[in-house]
Amino acid sequence: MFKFIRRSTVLTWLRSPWCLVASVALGIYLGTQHPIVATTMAPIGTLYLGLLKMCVLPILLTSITSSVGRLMMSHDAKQSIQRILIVFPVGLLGVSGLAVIIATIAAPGKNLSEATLKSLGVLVNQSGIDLEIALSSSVASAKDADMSQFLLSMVPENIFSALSEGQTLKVLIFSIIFGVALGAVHEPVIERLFEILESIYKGCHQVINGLTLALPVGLCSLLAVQLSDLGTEVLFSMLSFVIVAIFTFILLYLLCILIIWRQTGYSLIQIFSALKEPTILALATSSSFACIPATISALSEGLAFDRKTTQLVAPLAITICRFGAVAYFALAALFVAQLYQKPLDLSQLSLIMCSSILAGMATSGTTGVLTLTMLDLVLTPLKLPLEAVLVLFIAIDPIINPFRTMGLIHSSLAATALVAEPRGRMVEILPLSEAELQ
Amino acid sequence: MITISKLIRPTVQLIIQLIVRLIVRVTLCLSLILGCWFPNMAPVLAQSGTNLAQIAAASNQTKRSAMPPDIQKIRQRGKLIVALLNRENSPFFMTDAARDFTGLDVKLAAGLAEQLGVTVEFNRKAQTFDEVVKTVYDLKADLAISKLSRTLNRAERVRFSQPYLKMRQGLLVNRLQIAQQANGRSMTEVVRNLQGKIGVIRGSSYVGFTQKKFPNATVVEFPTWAEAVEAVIRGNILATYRDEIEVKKIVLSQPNTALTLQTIAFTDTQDSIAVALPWDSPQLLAYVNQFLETNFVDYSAESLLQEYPTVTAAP
Repeated sequence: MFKFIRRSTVLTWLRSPWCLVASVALGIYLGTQHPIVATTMAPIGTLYLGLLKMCVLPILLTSITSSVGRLMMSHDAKQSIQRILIVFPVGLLGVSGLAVIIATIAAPGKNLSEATLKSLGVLVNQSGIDLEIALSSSVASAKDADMSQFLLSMVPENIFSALSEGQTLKVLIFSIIFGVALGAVHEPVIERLFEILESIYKGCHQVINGLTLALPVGLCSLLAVQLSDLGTEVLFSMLSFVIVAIFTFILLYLLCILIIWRQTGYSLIQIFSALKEPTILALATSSSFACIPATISALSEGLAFDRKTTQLVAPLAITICRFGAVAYFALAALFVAQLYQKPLDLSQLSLIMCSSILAGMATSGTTGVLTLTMLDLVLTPLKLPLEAVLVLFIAIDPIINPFRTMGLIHSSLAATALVAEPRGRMVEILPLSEAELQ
Repeated sequence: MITISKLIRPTVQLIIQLIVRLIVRVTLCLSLILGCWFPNMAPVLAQSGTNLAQIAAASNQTKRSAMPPDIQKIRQRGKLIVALLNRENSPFFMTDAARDFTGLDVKLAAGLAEQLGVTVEFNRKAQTFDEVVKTVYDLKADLAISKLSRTLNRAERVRFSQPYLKMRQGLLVNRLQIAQQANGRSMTEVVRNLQGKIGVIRGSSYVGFTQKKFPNATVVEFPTWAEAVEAVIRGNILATYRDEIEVKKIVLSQPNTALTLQTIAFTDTQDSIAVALPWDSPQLLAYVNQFLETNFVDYSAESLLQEYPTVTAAP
């Protein structure tokens, strides 16, 4: 009995928000004051992230396949699909519109001081982007990012290679198609497959749940490493842009909380607390992929949304809609235009809105620096150069990326909340979900 | 045995006589033919004859000077006179923050003089690079180390050492302007079919280079490099064309322009910088070459800028 109490106390303590606050504080302290300790701690964070990501693909495959299949069988698929087709485009337009408005008003790239320009130039020079070109000899055509390639990258030639290479978008497309196909087979034998899929999902989910106990440790290590990598010099010369970008993502976060609040009827504090885990994970890991399980459980368990719809819509929104990247590309494009003193009229602003949606969606198959090169899709129609500014965006990305991921996760949460209406059983489920939260 | 030898001897003599006659006749015929048909060959043959005579005469000389005249002249004078352009050109010859006269060329000259055991003196009367070459040709300096390009025009009058710096040609491009004509094409494609105005220094060899390498572009000549660069920054012209170092110096010395300007180096061009010497200083030329080789003086634009990171743009 005594042992049990002690163990449960430890568990409660590990799950408490105060523990997370303490680990964040420790992470910040170590990252800024003792970068060497932070580097030695790096493997812990990597291990945690690895464990977390380990279960995401099985979850993605099983949850989407079974929820699409069940949706097809239950005949209310039409309604969900209609809602998705309305909510996703409107959400994307809203997000990119918001970013365009904020960047136009705040104008982070206008009237930069000579000293700022100089330090930015030093950064550009450091990267040694001196171009080397042969005037004769045959031209090696480099494959650039474009939309047709993106469309091609959506369909997996081989689902097993897509799975083993972790190509989320391809797995997603396959799962949807497979789910629709399963839903169309009206035979009792299919039910057993759904049960198998469900049990795989639950098993992986259990692993992820267990991992939340290690969250304080992982969080501390991940934060410390991120902060120790950060060059403060860059931060200061790009300060206005960084502030505007972070402000945009925080605003997006708050807007999404409001939307979810309106959709559910829970109190704001309950919502904050239910969404705490995906938020923290997004900020700590900068990996939207790693946040997918937490997002599903936050909505279906924490806020009592219909699990079937949530399981489908949340991964779909996170993988395809890329709200964070869309907002960021719109901000970045306006920043570049302001930097090069190119006046933009209303039609060009709307062009930015649309092309940043496309560029943002195109990032779904990419990771790392490649994500940022998609900015070219926005800048090329505006006839603005990318090479020099890309260096700057890459330099500040360690600061921006966590917030961009948070923006993506929360916009996806809000979009999912709009598609999947909560069942009218809130009152019944409420005590249960609260118990689960603690 | 004796009878056989008696028989063979006249036969051998006869054969030898025949051969000698044949050789004499053939030589006469050949010289006649050559003289008539190849009048150009005659002087060459004559000269090779005189050269052989000269060598023979020299080998007959009993008294030789202690060292070749071109080296001896410097040793006797006690100083090496080096021609240098009368302008600052970082990182080749410039006054640094500590107000010392330094740079790659200055250091090379000093090193060479030290090796020869003499002091160095700079002749800085020349206002243009061609005037530096003329100073050497007129023997007003022993040699010139003054960022001189090895061009064939110059090689008509002076001799060049092996290059101590090999750089490429460079283009300084306005990023915005080039993005205007890119339309999704790669940078290499755009640059190869460059259209628009390219600025060069008036009367420099880059006028010809531009016309040859960018036939679709319009050449705009500027009195100075600084004015050409200013025009690119303002976007009045698309690009300006010069050697890699001058191009890189702009973005390195004025980092605030790095966002506006892109530097491009052409991998299949070369601009070799070498020491210029009078044509009649063969020994000094060999000495300079060996000096450069022994001290591994073989820079590229990159290694030079690494050694002199605080460059300033030339006026």
